[in-house]
Amino acid sequence: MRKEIAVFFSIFIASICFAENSKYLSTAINRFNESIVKVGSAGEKCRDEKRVLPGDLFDKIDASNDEKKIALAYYYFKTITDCTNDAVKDYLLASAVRMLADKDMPRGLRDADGLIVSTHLEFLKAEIKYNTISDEHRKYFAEIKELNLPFSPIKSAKALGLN
Amino acid sequence: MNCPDIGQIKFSQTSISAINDIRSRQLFSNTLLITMGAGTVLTIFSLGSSLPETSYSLYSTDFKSMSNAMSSVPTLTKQVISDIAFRAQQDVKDYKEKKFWEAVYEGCSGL
Repeated sequence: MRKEIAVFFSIFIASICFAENSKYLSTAINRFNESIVKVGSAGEKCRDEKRVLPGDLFDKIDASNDEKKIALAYYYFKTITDCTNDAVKDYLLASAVRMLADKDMPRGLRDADGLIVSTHLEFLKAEIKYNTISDEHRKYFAEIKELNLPFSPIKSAKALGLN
Repeated sequence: MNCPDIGQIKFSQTSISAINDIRSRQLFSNTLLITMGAGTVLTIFSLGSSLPETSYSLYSTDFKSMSNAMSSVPTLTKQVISDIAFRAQQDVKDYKEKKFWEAVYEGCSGL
């Protein structure tokens, strides 16, 4: 009889632990999923901005057209990453937590991270090019307030005569 | 914008790199969908032998979260494609290629 009680008790404890573990895992997955939604919404909000930069915005700067194009790309990606930074950080945390919580997690999660941080990678490329521009010109671009808010990049490039 | 009538187009190396970039990001997007689906499905099977209350909780919360996240993936993919299209549009020299990438970036309707 004692043996049967012990077996029953062990199964009971195991099932509680199993349910707890599942809840732990599903909470990690839910937080991961919610963080994806937040990244999507943050990006959408910024990208919906259809503002076209005024055609005379760069008139006072003695930079080449190539430099102006580089600056435009840099500020475009900067405004988007500024908008999504917090959401992307939350995603990366949720992704790491999920990875550690889920022993059977599909191995492709690292690739999925690549999709989420893609704009940040584009920003990095744009920043490297931007840093080749002289300090003087960069200082001038940095003072243009319009470049620090989301804008429509191709239409702006056309308006600025850079396309 | 109106959908451009580009006709014959020969892609430069810049465009081909951008197209390959988009293809790889679409693979990431598929991976993300699989990751979300597999995670939740595994959880469902794990909870299959558990208490009914827990199963109800899974249905109402977990599926909603998975569904919301899944519907965000096309948005995220579109954003990534836009970034690549903008970069390509700036980098290519050929007029037709510029038009092509502009249409990819802006989207288009009608003719």
